[in-house]
Formats: sequence, C-alpha cells, structure tokens
Amino acid sequence: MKRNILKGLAVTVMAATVALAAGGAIAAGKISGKTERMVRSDFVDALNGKTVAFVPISLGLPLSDFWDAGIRDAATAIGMNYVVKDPAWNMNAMSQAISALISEKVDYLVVQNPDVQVFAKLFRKAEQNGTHVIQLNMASNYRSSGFVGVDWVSHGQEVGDDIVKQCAAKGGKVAIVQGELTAAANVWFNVGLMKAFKASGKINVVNDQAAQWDATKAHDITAAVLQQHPDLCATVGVWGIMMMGSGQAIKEAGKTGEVLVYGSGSNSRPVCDSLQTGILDKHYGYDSYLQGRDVVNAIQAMAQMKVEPGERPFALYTPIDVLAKETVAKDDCRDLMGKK
Amino acid sequence: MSVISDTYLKLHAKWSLQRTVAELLSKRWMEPAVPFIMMLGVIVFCAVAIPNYLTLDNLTDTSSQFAEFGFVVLAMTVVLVVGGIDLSVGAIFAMADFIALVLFNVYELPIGLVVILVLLSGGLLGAINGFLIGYLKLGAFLTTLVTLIIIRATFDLTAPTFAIDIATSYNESAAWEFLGEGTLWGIPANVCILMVIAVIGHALLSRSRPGWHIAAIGSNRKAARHAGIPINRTIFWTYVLSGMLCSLGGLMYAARLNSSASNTGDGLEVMALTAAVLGGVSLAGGKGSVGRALIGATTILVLINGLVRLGVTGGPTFALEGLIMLVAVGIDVKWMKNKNKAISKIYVVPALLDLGELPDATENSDSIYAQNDALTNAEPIGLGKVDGPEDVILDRQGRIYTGTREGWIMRLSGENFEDVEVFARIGGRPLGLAFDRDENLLVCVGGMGVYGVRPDGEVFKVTDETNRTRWKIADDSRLRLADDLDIAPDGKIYFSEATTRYEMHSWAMDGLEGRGNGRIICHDPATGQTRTLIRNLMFPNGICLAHDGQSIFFALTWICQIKRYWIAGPKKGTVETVIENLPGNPDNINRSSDGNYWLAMTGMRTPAYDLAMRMPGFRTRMVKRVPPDEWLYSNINNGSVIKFTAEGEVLASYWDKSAENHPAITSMREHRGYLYLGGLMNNRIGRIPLPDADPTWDSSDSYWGPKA
Amino acid sequence: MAGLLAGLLGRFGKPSQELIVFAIAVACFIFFAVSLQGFASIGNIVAMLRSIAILGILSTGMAVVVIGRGLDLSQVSVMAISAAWTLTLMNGGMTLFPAMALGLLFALAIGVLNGWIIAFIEIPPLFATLATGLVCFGVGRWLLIDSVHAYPPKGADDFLFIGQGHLVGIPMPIIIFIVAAVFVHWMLSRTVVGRHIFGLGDNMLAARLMGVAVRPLIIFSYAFSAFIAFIAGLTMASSVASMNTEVINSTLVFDVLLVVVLGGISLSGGRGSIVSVVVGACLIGILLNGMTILNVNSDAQNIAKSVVLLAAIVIDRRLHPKDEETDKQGDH
Repeated sequence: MKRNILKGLAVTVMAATVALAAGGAIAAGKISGKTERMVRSDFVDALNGKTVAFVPISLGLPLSDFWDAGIRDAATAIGMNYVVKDPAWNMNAMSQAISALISEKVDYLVVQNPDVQVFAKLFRKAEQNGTHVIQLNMASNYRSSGFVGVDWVSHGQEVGDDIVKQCAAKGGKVAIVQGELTAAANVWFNVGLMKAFKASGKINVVNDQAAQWDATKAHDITAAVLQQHPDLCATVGVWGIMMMGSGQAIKEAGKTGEVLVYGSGSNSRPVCDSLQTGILDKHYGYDSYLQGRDVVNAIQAMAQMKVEPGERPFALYTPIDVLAKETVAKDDCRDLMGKK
Repeated sequence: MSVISDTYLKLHAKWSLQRTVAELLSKRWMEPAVPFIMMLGVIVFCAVAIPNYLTLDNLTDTSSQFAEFGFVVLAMTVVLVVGGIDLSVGAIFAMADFIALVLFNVYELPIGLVVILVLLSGGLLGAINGFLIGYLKLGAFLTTLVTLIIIRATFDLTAPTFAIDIATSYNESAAWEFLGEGTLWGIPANVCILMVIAVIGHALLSRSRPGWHIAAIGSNRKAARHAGIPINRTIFWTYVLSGMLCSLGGLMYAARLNSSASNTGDGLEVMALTAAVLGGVSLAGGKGSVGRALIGATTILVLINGLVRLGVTGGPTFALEGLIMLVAVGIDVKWMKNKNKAISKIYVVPALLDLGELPDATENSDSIYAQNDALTNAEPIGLGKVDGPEDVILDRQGRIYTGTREGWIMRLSGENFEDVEVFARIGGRPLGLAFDRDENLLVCVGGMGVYGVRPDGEVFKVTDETNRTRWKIADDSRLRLADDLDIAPDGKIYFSEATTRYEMHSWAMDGLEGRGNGRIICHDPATGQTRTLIRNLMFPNGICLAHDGQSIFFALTWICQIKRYWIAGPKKGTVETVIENLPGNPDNINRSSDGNYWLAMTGMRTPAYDLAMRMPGFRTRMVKRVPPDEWLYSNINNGSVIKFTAEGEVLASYWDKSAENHPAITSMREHRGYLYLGGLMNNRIGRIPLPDADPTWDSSDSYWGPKA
Repeated sequence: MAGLLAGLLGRFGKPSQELIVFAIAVACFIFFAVSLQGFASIGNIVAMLRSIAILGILSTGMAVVVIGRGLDLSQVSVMAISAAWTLTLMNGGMTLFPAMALGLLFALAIGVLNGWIIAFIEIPPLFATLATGLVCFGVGRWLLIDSVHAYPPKGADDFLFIGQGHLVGIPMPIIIFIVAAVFVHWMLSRTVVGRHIFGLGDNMLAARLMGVAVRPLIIFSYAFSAFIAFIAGLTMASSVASMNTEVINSTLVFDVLLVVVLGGISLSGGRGSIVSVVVGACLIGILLNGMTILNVNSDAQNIAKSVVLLAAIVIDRRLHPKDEETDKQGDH
C-alpha cells in the first residue's frame, strides 16, 4: 500500500500545481494578500454544502467502483455532498440522469463518456446553467471545465513502443483485440498504437477484430488468429479484463510466454492474479481510486479560484503504472470492492 | 322478514353496486382506465418522493424526452394492433438519428428536405420488415430481430466514417434549434409535434378504413381475409408507417442532442414494448389506440426517470422492469381471456320481487282464469311459413301482417290467407305492429328501434334513440329492445322498451333480475323528437291506447301488472294500476270490439319461480355457479288470452290447455268477428271465431274512423 | 449412420433444410480450406469446434424448448447469473460442489418460473422469458453478485478443468457439447418425455386430449433449458476464468436461436432434431472462423450471419407454408 500512498501524494501535488498554474496570476495575487486563516475560510466557504454528482456508464465494474469510492471518500472528507447515479449501461437512463442533475443545478458534474459525442450538447447546457462538468477518463468533443483521466494517445503509443521493442526482431506479427469500435478510449488508444507501429515500420497487424469488451469473444478471436499465424508475437487490447480471454486462448495453444499479451486499464486484483499465472504478460494500468481523488482535488482548486464553468478548461492526465509478469507484487493491485 | 332486511332488499332492487361495476366493466373506455390510474399513481409517487419534481424546469426537461419515446411507442403500437411486433424500432431510431445528423450537419441540407429524407429512409427500413412479414409471411418476431441486427450492424459500420464530421461541423438553423429545444406556450416543440401526429394517428386508426383494416387483421386474420381485406398489403404499409414513426423519433433525438452514438436506441424495443403493453395495447393484436400508447409511454418514462433520479441502481431497475412487464402482460392475458366471463358472472343482478299469492287457474275451478280448450282448435294460418309471428295486425283489406325471426314483415292474403309474401325486409326482430293514420305500418324492431313500412313496402326509420338518462353509467340512448307501440290521435307514437340491459336474444335473463330496466317512450313525428316518459319499469311490454284516446294501457311482464298512463285529460301524466297479480306474464294488449281490451299472456306463473323471485340470493348463486342453459327461467310454455275492462275487471280467459298449438301467446288482434293469435316462438298464426263480437269491427276504423 | 442419412434426405427425397444447411456448410468449408492457409488444419478445426461449443450447448437446451413450441430468451441471463453466483459463492469460501448445487438450484428456479408463467398464466413465451431474463439479471446483480464480472478464486483447478481441461486430447467444452447433444438426442428420440415434447409442439390441444400432462411438460422443458444454460455458464466461466454478466447485452441469445432455426427446427414447434442443431452450429462455426481469419469486421460478420438466418427462415416458410385458414396473425 505504501507505493499507492506515494503515488497518491504525487498526483495531489501535481493536481494542485496544474490547477494553480491554470488559475494564473489573479488567483495567486488574491491568496498572497490573506493570512492562513483567511485561506482556510475561503476553503470552507467555497466548498460548504456544494454537491458533486458522478454518472459512470455503469457501476459494478472495478474501474467505476474505484472511482465511486475515490470521489466519495475525498468529497465527503471535505464536507461536500456526493451523489452517484447508476444507469447500468442504459444510455437513455444515463441521458435522463444527466438532464435531471443539470435541472437540479448540482455544482459539479463528473461524467464518464460512453462516446465522444453523445452528451456534448447537454454539457454545454450544464455549463451555461452554472454546473462545472468534469469528464472522467473518457472525454467528449465538448471541452468542459476539466478532464481527468488517461492521455489515451500517448498511452497507446507507450504500449506500442514496448511492443515494437519486443516484437520487431521476432517477425513483428501483432493482433489487436479492439473493445468497441466507436468508444473513445478504444479509438485513441489504437491511434497511439498505430503511431508507434508506423514509426517503427516493422510491425505487421494481422488482425484487429472487436471483441465488444467480452473475454469470451477475445478468446475465440485469438484462437482463430493463432491457427493462422502460429508465429504471432503479441496480442494487445485496451482492457485487461477482456485480454484475459485472449491470454487464455494462448495458454490453451501452449504458447504462454511466446505470444505476449498486453492489457491496459484499472489495476484491480484479477489483473495481478492473471499476471502471476501468466495469462497476461504486461499491464499498463492506473489506479482509478486515485483518479477519483484527482477529480475532487481539481474541484477544490476550481472552487477556491472561483472560476466560471468552462472558463479555464484543464486536463489532469493520470500517470501510468506498468506491471509486468516478472515484477508484479501484491500491493500493485486493489482488491475488488464487495457489496456496500 | 324483518323490516331492515326488507328495506335493504327493496333498496337493492333499485340500486346495486354490482350492477354499477358490471356496467363500468363493459364500458370500452374502462379498458385504458386501469393503465391511466397506474400512470397517475406513478406520477404522484415521483412528485412525492423526488424533491422539486413538479418544477417547470424539470417538467419541461422530462417532457422533451417524452416526444422521442412517444413516437417509438406509437410505432410499436401500430404493428401490435395489426397482430405483429417490431423489434427493430430502436435500430431504425438510431439509423434515422444518424441520417438526420449526416444530412443536416455534414451535407447542410435545408431542414425541410432533411425531414422528408429521414421519413423516407424510415419508411424504407419499415418496408423491408413489411415485405418480409406481409408478403413473404415470415414470423414477425424473428424477422424484426434479424433486421434489428442488420440495421444496427450497418449503422455501426457506417457511423464511424461520419462520426468526426458530425461532431465537428456545426450547422446553424433556427428551425433545427426550435425542433430540439424550442417551446410553444411553454410546451416543448417536439411534444407539440407529437400531439399533432397523435391526433392524426388516432383519427387514422379509429376513424378510417385503413385503420379498421389494421385492427381487423389483428383481431382475426382469417375473418379479415374472408372479408376481402388485402392482408399482405395492409401489413406491409403498417410496417412502413411504423418505420416512419420511429424515424420521426430519431429526428427529434437528433435535434435535441445533436449526437449519434453507437448505443443510441439500444434496448428501446423492450422499453417500447413494455410501455405499449402497460398502456393496454394487446399483444394478441387488434386492440390498441394512440391514447393507450401514450399513457403507457408516460408511465414507463416517468417510472424509469424516477428510479434513476431516486438513485436506484442497475440491478433493481432491471428486476423491476421485468416484473412490471410480467404483471402487465399477465393481467392483459388473463383479462382478455376472462373478461366476458367475469362480466357475465356479475352482469345479472337479481333483486327481490314479491308477486303476491298466485291466483288459482286450475281447470274446472271457479276462477275466471280456469284453464279451458278455447284456443286448442284455432284455425292455423301460414303454418310453417311464418317463423315467430310475435304480433299480428290486419289492414282494411283484411290482409294479415306479421314480423318474423328473419327480420321480415310477411303479408298473408287471399281467402284462407294462403298467399304468403314478404312485404318488407327490415332486419332486426320485428315485434309490435300498428297502423298510423296514413296506413303506414309502424313496427317496433328489437335491436333497431321503431321503423315504418309504407303501403308500397318502402321501409323508413321512425326513431332509434331517445334522450340519455342522466347519471347512468350505461349509455341507454340507443333503443335496444323496442317492444310494442300504439299511436295517439295526435299522431304521437307511444312505445315500450322492454329492457335497456339485455338484447333480443337474452331478454329472458332480464326476468331473472326482477328489476325495473325498461321504459315507456314517446316519439312525436311532428317535431321528430323522442323522449322517455317513464323509467324503471319491469319489462313494459304491450301498449294500447284506450278507446277514448285519453290514456294508454301498458303491461309489465315480470311483475304481472297492467298499468295505465294518462296522456290527456285531468289526470294527464299520472300512472295508475289497473290489474295486479295476474296469474301469468302479460304481453300485448289490444282493443276489443265491445269497448274492452284483450291481453295475451306469454306464460303462466309457477310457484317455484315465484319463490325464486322472492329469493334474490338464490338466483345470484344460480347465475354465478350454473351454466346459463341450466338456469331456472320463467315458464313460457303455456299461455292464454284474457279480456279485461278499463277498470281492471277480468271478463274471460281463453286457453290452449294442450299447449300444442298455441303454447306461448304473445299477441292477439280482433278483426271482423275473429281473434287472431301470434306467438314469439310459434310456427303459425291462429284464428278463432268470436260469436258474440261485432262482425264488422276492425281496429283501423276503431283508431282512425272509417276510410274516407 | 443410415438413419442420419435418411433424416438428412427427408422423407420423399425432397431435400430437408438440414441437408441444405449441411451442404452449405460443406461448401463453405471447402471454400475456406482452399482459400485460407491453415484453415483445414486439425488445430484450427479443434479451435473452431471449441469456439462454437458454448453456442452448441445452449442450442441443445433451446432446441428442446423450441420443439415444444416455446422460446427461451432468458437462457443467456440464467447462464450468466447462475455461473457468476457459483463463482461468487466459491470466492466466499464455499467449496466447488455446494456452490455448484446452489447455482444449479437458482437456474432451475428461474426455469420452473418460466414454465409456470407460460403454462399457467399463459403469457406468450416470448414475453415471459424476456421479462424473467430481466428479473433474473436484475435480482442477480442486485442481491447475488458483487460486480459485473465474477472470477474463480485462485487455485480452483477442479473448476478450471471444466473449461480448460482435456480428455483424450479433446478440449472439455467440445466433450460437454457432444455429451449434451447425445443426451438430448436420446431424450428426444427414445424417451416418452421426448416424444411428448414433440406432441406438445405439434399440437398442444391434441396432446392434452391424448392424456399428455401438458403443463408439467412445459415446465420441464424450460427447467431443462435452464439446466443446460447452467452447464454452459460453468463451461464459459471456466474456459476464460471469468464470467462477464454483461454477456446478456450481446447477441448471444440470438445466435443460439440462429443455430436452432438454421438447422430446420421450426419455431412453430414439433419439428427438427438435434442433428439440426449440430449442423447449424457447424455452419455458424465455419462462417465465423473463416471471417475472423479473413479479418472481417464484427459488424460485417453480424450482417453476414443475419442474412444467412433470414435465408434460412425464408426457406423454412417456403417448405412449410402458412395455412391461412388456421394461422393466427398474433402468432409471433
């Protein structure tokens, strides 16, 4: 856990730095004229009784459950009200939940976008209504108050670079297991991957089927590809849980260790288990609990600097933690959350 | 019997909750009443449970989402009514949304053209379904399931190519903005459009030929085909219509959110289906309306919105959605199956009827009613050629007219009435007959009203409705069972309607109730107005104008009474009883040549039935537990004719003791020294000579004077 | 074998749908074998069979219901929740068999509920199972399992054997599929219950008049389908060491229907056999495997699959035309 705490500290410091930089000279000037006590009262005034609402695509996944816990813990600790709505993958319900929160005029709205486009118009309405919109991990086309999450293109590029390093010499055959074709994370991650692959010129993508976030489908696709390309060097996909299916197919073919399995996503217990058993080889992950805390930190900074919604958009990119089969330790993953 | 229970039973004879419920249930507007109450319940629940629910902001917000969903539910409803199902509504919705955005944002077409093209594309997708289901006769469920997957996959394939274009290009248009976010008198514009379409759709579905065809195919495909309805074509166009409605929904969504995502419209088909069924649209087809669709849509939208806002998480929402669906469909299935059974179980509501001591009618007794053989050897007329001559009348030429079961008026002429011809074909069940001053034959037609036949055989309507009784649930303005009539010197037509609760074929059930369900009505040909004079009469049957034209006599069949209603003179408007406690059930009354009146008795009372009439509880149990053919009905196997004076003295009785030739007698008419007999179920008209009667007397003269 | 051939040929020498589908499957196989390197290898054929094993297992259960003139859309939901609950129980410290017994009990409960609703309340199977599927998933997510995914606990090797083990060199899922197919074939063709299910599907009223206990039989068929769903769920969860309950949002249940209808089991009941299911599953397996190797996009695969299904039901309608005098439009 020590490592996590350190990581958390680092992120907090970073968040504060970014927020302050964004706030600029005006804010800095005001603060410098006050005593410590006045800063404290600014802090209390700014956050007292404010509400932060969180709308993920669905709860019940490690990723969103950690976000939920992260935001809840941090927000309630500083006396904010916290509301979460679970649309359970129903886009209609999600749109209704967001609309309702906007008409209720919550102060801060945190949304995980299923798509780059779907809520853009609602976000504009929200910010006109005085609600700050923070987009979590998956951004939309609308540039709202803030974005907290992974820098997907550079993330994809980082993974891609490592694949190039591992595979360039081994024939360079790579299969990409896509999540859903239109999901933002999937699109930008793949853009990053392809950037890296093109730059090297030595990688041959033999298959890029979409498994619809389903491990079983990933399994079947990988099994079929392996038959065709026994000399496959690596499979890679944007979600570790899904890639476990791919790893399973490789294990069945007796090629564990020969064909590398790359995943990405939240560092949750099953990921570490899979790394230990060799189902996954490398996982480019992040701690979504801390992403939740980042969100609240950003809110604190915005509140104290009294910026209007959308006035100074910022992005807080999450640091990536690379876990490899050889080096994975128990502390690297968070345990799944049970029923509350 | 104690006073209290006596009072109770008398009150019960007048008012009954059970009857109210039965009449309510048989109302067509009651069917959506349950969904409507459910909808109100959901709205009230949300208003109470969610703070600030009833604010203008929130209502506008919720209702702007309503339009899109409303269109999709309408689309689902029309195909459900035709007996199909459309699972591809969500996919067509998503496709239309996408096409609208591409056309508007990327190609920047004018908005009118966008609307037309989107509607066309929706219609085209619907046409694919329609062709497969209507013309190739595939099962609707599997077919639309497959088209759902194909349309969605096509959408997923093409959408990414335009996704960035749609997102980045931004076409400004006031009309587009208005469609998505504008309001008219505070109501979102898209809801206004939905309402307009809903009104048109309602007219189409319930008031137009194509709409009737749709419902006919849905309720009975075979019958519709036999009736010559173009089944394949109608089904095809219904799916086209469904597709267009979905695309309208998609268009509204495009204008409101300006976005097209891979999961747009996902799961919409299940939601729309649940909404339609919840609103009372039947899955079995043939039953459903625009109103019901919108009620269901509102309930589901408010409920899901409410659950989301209350923070109910995924799991319970799914479980609740499934449960609601099960309960709604379960009620629908069970209700459709058992509704008529339930109504018929509670429709007959027996009341207390105490007739008094049964007068003696045994043979050879001193009683005036003592049975005899006076009618046994009546001369048969038209034997086997007239089916059920309820009433008979003769014209000045001595020809007999009578109504038959076929709905015809037969004319029998010739020396021995051997020439039988169909004088007029009216339909319904012709009952009481009377000639007016111009020798038009006026007929009470069971199931239709009062009609007339001119001497040349032309049929015309006199009246078929009266003023509706206020505060009565069942609409009694239409005449159900006009029974007998007579005409006053001023031309006013007085006629009886035996019961307003039963039809011609089930009139005997009215007797089981022992309630005043009938009425006396007057039609004035001068003004064309029909007005009810006396209500709550116990099966008013025969009507006869007194010789002086000042009053009418009328017979009350179940309570075995003759009453008199004054239409002129000092007692005008009052009713008095002439005879009480007859030994049988009186039917038609007619004048006799000696200034008295003939009365037919359709059947005689029996001690058992009299006892049953005093025991409403017994009859209630019988009606509920025993099949209708086994019920105890009043006896109609043995009738008689009596003669009575205007003061109520019974002068003579005539019987067919054998009950072979004239078992039930429903009418008799004196004409030039003969008495002619009619019977509702008989296969003949009978005639007996009346030796003491005036051999020149005929009723036309008696009413209208000798012919000029 | 002779019986199989006779079945394929149909009675009057008119090609049955099974035979047509079988011929198409063979043609596709030859086409892919010639054009795709590595397609006809033993390894690929095993991988192909393995990839359709789950689909095939589910289809045997669906076949029983469809032959009895029903439809079970709750199958995938039952599969996901019962298997995921078993895993959750195992994570809670329960050993394999008690956990499996409870999971099975849950599946059977939903199956019996389905049958009861359809047999006694007489809700059309389509809606009954659609709704119970939602209820099953909702209750499962709400009360039984903690999150969208369930994972087997570490060291549950006996559990993992179900999906990942081999028997005489053949992967377990294929073995389970074969056992299920043989068992259902035996049940449908050699037992009283099986013959009665055919009778039920062919003409329920006639079956009832004959003295068949129609309502218990309907309940049995749905309970059996749920039982098969549980077996499929265990196999699925074990072979990828996780159970993704979001699988209910996929097109899996439609793929199952596709396999069942494709081989010639008519949705109007009383017709078809397990041979149809095997043939249908093989065709789908060949198509999907071939297209995956060709790197055809999954959406395009869906379209191809749907067009094949559409063709199958059009042919079905041609071979078994509707009788306008007896068919009701309301019959979905």
